[in-house]
Amino acid sequence: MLSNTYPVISVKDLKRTYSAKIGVMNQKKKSVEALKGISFDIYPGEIFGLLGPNGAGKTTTIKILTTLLAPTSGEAKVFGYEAFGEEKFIRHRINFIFGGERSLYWRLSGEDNLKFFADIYKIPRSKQNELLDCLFDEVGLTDVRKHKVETYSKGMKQRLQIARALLNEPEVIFLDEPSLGLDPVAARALKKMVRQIADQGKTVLLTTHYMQEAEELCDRIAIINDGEVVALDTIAGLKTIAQNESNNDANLSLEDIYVHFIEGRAICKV
Amino acid sequence: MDSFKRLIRKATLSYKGLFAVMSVQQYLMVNLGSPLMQMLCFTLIARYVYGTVDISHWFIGNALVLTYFNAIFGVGVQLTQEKNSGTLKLLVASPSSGVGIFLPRAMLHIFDGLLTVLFGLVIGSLIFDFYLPISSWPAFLLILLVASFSAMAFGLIISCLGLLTRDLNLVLNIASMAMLGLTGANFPLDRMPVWLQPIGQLMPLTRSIEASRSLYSGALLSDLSGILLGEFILGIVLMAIGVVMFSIMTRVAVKLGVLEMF
Ligand SMILES: Nc1ncnc2c1ncn2[C@@H]1O[C@H](COP(=O)(O)OP(=O)(O)O)[C@@H](O)[C@H]1O
Ligand SMILES: [Mg+2]
Repeated sequence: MLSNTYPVISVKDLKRTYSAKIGVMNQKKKSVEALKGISFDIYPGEIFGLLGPNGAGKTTTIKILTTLLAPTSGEAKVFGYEAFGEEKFIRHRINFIFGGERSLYWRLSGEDNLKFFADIYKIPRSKQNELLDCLFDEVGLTDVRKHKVETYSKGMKQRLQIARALLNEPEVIFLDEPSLGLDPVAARALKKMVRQIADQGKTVLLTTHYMQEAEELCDRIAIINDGEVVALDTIAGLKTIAQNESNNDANLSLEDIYVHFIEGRAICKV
Repeated sequence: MDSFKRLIRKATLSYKGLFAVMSVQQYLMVNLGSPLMQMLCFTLIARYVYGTVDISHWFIGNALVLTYFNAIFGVGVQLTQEKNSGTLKLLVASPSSGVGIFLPRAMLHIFDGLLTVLFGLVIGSLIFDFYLPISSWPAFLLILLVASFSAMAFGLIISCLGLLTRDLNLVLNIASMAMLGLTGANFPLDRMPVWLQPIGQLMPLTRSIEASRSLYSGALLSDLSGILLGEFILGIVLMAIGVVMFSIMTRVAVKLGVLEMF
């Protein structure tokens, strides 16, 4: 369907092994194969979901694509450039948020945080004021922009992160469990913002454990388990496969589909 | 103009975000209290050891060496602090280079370090009868500025080590001891083991301490320009090493997957 456009993100047979030392006296090297050769393409304007249990390799994938981790082998390209080696052609065009409350300077105000990163991203001073007003408005933090981040709630911190990630007008934005620990209202606000980001034509790669969030947002989903992609399609496509494989005509929810691909198949194989 | 404004704001915000304390009392306690106590301690030891001899010599050394406090605990820990606040990855994955990211951070510490030394001098003049004629103060300030600059440049190198090790404390202790022990602040360099002497010459502050002592003994700034230039160049070299180390070590950290490990 999208064969006439080039993918913004292209991952081919990507592998990553971590080596960790265990023990104190007799240190042994233990290696963990976090990614065992995954492949997928993401096209411009898509919201692409990466679902999978804890430890499946989602964060590892995002770290590689955001130039923060080198692949062990295989290919990870963003805009056609290698994520490790050609990062200077990528970095100014992407941005990302990792879940959790860190990644901000808690002692600074929300405004100072954005100013700092605006300078780090070399955004011209003449544009900054208007941009910051706009972003604070977009994430609904205008009235607390002068307050210290340590006084923000989790949801507010997450919204500030979004504003931070939009500073450089990225073409691709990576969201690793952005709704982690948010209350339902904050999670809904976040969902709305992700939708808005996509409506502006940006490409989004999202990981989440909330099936409803994935269902409402994602155009296509890759389910990843133990370092391997076990399924990749639109939600409707995944549903068809799951229904066929499990001989189940019932109207499967995304959660049913997810459980099928993570557990059901394994049980079938035994 | 934009890049200058950026430099200033990055300097103040990173100082505020990571190092600066919240109140004046806290500043006095943390940034002045402990370094000044240390200066008094070492100077009093010197007085004990050297008896009635004028100890201004040792006092000056110990005052200048106070810049180590900002160099190690301000600049030296900065990248580890970024790791702790989860912001290191944001900086590394930004389009800014090492120069743009971590040089501005050393800037305010240069002045903070200088301020600490000035406080030390005031206290010293009250306790130890330290006296420097007014006419020598501009020259003395210049020496202090250069000293603080090269101390912070040294701190940049230390901070890079934080990218790859989780035992930064060990590094910080060794670096502090080196600054206290190998710069001539507390022990005469020429009486150290021969193999240690070249290291003393490569340390920041060694030349500034020598210059300020000479100034105190009546030398003119013009006599000291060579040695002062030496300290300045050493600072530039240390800084360049720091910048290169930053880019090499972030790359190694990205390869090993330890950019965010503690
Ligand atoms: N820095 C690391 N060192 C060693 N092992 C790691 C490291 N980071 C992740 N892993 C391991 O790699 C696997 C995948 O982790 P991750 O990508 O974080 O999974 P996910 O984000 O899907 O929960 C896990 O088994 C995890 O324990
Ligand atoms: Mg994860």
